[in-house]
Amino acid sequence: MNDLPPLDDSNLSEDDLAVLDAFDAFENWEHPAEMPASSGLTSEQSEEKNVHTEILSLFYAEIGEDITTMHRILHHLEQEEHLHSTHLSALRRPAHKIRGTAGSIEYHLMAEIAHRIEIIIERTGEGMIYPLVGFHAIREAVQALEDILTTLRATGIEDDERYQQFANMLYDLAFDAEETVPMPEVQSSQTRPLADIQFLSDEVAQPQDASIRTDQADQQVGVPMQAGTTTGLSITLARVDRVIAHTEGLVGMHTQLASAEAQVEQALQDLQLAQQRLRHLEGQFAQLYTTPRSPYELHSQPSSSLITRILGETPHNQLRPHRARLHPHRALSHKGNDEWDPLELDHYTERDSLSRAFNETIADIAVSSARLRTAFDRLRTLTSTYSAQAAEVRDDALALRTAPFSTILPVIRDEIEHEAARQGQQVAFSVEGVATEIDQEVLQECKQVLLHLVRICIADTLITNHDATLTTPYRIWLQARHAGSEVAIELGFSMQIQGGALDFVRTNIQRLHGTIHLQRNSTNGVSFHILLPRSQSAVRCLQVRVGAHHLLIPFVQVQRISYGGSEEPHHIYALGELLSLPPSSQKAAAVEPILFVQQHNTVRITGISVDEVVEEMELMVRPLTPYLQRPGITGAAIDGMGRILLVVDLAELLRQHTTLRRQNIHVREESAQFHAQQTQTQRQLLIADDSASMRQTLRQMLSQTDFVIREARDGMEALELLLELPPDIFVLDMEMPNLNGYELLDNMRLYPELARIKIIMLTSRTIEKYRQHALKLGVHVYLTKPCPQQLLLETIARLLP
Amino acid sequence: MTPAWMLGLTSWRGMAIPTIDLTHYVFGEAQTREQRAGASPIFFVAQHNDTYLAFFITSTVTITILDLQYLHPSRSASSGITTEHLPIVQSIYRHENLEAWLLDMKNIFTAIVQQIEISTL
Repeated sequence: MNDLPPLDDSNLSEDDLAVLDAFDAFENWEHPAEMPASSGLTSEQSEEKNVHTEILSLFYAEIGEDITTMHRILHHLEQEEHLHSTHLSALRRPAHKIRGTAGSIEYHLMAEIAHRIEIIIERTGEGMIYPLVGFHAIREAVQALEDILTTLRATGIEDDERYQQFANMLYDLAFDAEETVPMPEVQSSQTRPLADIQFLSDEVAQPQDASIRTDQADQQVGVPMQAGTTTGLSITLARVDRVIAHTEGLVGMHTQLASAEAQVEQALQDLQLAQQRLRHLEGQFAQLYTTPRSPYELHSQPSSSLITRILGETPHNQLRPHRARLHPHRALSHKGNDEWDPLELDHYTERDSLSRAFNETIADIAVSSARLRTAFDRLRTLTSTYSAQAAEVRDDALALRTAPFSTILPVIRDEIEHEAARQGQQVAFSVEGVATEIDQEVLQECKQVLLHLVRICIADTLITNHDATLTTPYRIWLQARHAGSEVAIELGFSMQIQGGALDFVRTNIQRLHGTIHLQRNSTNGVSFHILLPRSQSAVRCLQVRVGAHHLLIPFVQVQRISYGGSEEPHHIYALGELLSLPPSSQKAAAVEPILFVQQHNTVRITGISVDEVVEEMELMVRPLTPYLQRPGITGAAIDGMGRILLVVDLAELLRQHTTLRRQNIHVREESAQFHAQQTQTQRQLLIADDSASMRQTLRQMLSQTDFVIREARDGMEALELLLELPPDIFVLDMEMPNLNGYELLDNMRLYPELARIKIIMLTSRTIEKYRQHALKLGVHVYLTKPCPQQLLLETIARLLP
Repeated sequence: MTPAWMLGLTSWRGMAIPTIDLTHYVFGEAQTREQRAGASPIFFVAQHNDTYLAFFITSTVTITILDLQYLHPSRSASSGITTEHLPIVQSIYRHENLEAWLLDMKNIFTAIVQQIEISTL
């Protein structure tokens, strides 16, 4: 290793060579520091010089800030009791920024030193370099950067001699960032205090000190969390007692229910007996009517013989004058036969008796019906009470699985305090909703998600954001609350955070059938909004119909349902179209329901139309067998009728749809037409880069175009501007705060209407895997910094012919 | 699109498993919905390793035990098996007036799973 000359071109990696090639290609671009003297300049030249001066002053200020930040981080690392590889990662962002910014202004030496720092951090993280050696090399590199910047400010030229000193230092250290010998695995778990730093040179390859560890475990921020691995539940005795009490109440109700059932049964039997008697009487009546009877009986059925006798003495027509009018022939035929006939007495008594029995039976039926109604009402009341009691037992049983949100807080608090102390900053941490009950399985996974978010977001941001003028400390807060059958959690930061966190935890959240969004908060920082089902035992879903297909959508994905209300979403996509379902002959409901998708911003609302919202249901959702899995389908559930219902992920379906739209030739034509129309008006271009000087440089490079140029300082702001007014061209960096380039591209895919935007990624990352990933996420052209002006202009012209 | 011979998903012991129209898969002849309903439809569930598939068949003649001596290799020239069918036919059963294909279910499972996997939903 010692024989290799440091930084020799022949030893440079492919990445480095690519950077150098790009530098070479950039040579034609006029160097800002080599502008001619102001005397004798035309007004145009003078204006150009002013712009360059402005860019330079921005550059000096920005690089100066980044170097100060790196010094501060190094200073804090020096105070660390234990140093391990991940601590150095805090330096990655400022180094990457310097590399990109310096490269774009053609300060190759500074860009090269920054690149070396990035490589050292990477190799240290991989365990190829001892953390202590990496630390020292970076400290030397930062000092070299500072010295070169000072010379640059004074003379306008980079100090090549100082660069050589830095290179020699690396050589003296027997340190070659490109070809490092892997460190043998050290078994000891002890760590070495930084105060004991000794320069390891030749010893690097042969670790003498077994107390140094590389702590690989700490690097495993990307280790996937396993689902459904709850090893045990923590259950309080009080909750068990509650379940027992409610269950006993339920058992106690069995006697009451049995009694009520018996009452119903008795009333039912009484009613049936009365009905049997009635049927019997009917038979007797029928028989009676077949025998000869007095004409009087045809018209009246007295309830007793006495009444009949009295009635019999009354002139018939006087009793029923209307019947006489209706049946005059009968009245005539009865004339002279109204006298009492003692021979019919027995016959009459029987009839009278039957009549009385008939009336009594009817009364019995009425009484039995009333008793049945009363018994049934009692049974219904008891059943209702029983159901309520059973629901309580079910809730109690579910509550056995839950634990308060407060149970996961100590570890998160510790992480924040540890990280804040490491960076020498103060952070106020507050929590609301500590008593919010959450399923322990969800809670455990949620803890991992929150821990990762905290680790990634504040890994180096506290120190890089350091603002000495701030009188109050940074704030981080957690809020948990129940929202229906879901739990809503907010993890808020009052400061800018490091991008990349969202991408990291998305899979875990999807596995829990939840959602996560990043949103700007009232403190001008950002907040993660997480929505999770309270329990994993069953997922509350909407069953929707699209044509002949029935599908499930988890509640957490839907903000609300609109049935043609006044508030309309900005864009509506048909679920059938998102799923590429063929058109169906089955008609939609009279008013097509629109599901408002849960999205991280309120600027633009996306709606998903379905043919019908069938019902709301809670079902066990299981993942599909791997070969049946598809993007946008998270699992399947079986309903009460044994039907398979697929569970869809609306956000993923929208992403897929955007990708398809980008590939679709018709959309391309549509897009070309749109851009052609735009030429009639003013075309828009959006630049997203966290470096002010880089943004200024790009603006300068594009000054000869007719674009209206807007700028975003981070990924979040870029997304807001994209949704506010979609540009024709979007130039973005990869490393950005809040949302990094990848996360931003992924979020853009949630809005298929943004599919027509031509995207150029301009980054210092030259490795092929980054390029491939960016292209996969929808980037049209991937350019590396420094990018020659001509290349950028040609690229834009090619994208927008 | 999923393969045409995949009729859909059905539930089997709490799992969602694909339903395959076996006639369509083997002979490439899609049956109409009416044909499927008109016959005596039978679904049989087969398992290979951890994979379950439900096969739809229109009818079964009988359940029989084959005498191995009447089994002939499908790759022989006289088998009459086309190249297309070779991977899924293990051997030919010929006895008296009956000729039947003995399907290679292991290969069929592998092929079906692969084809479903590469298709889009």
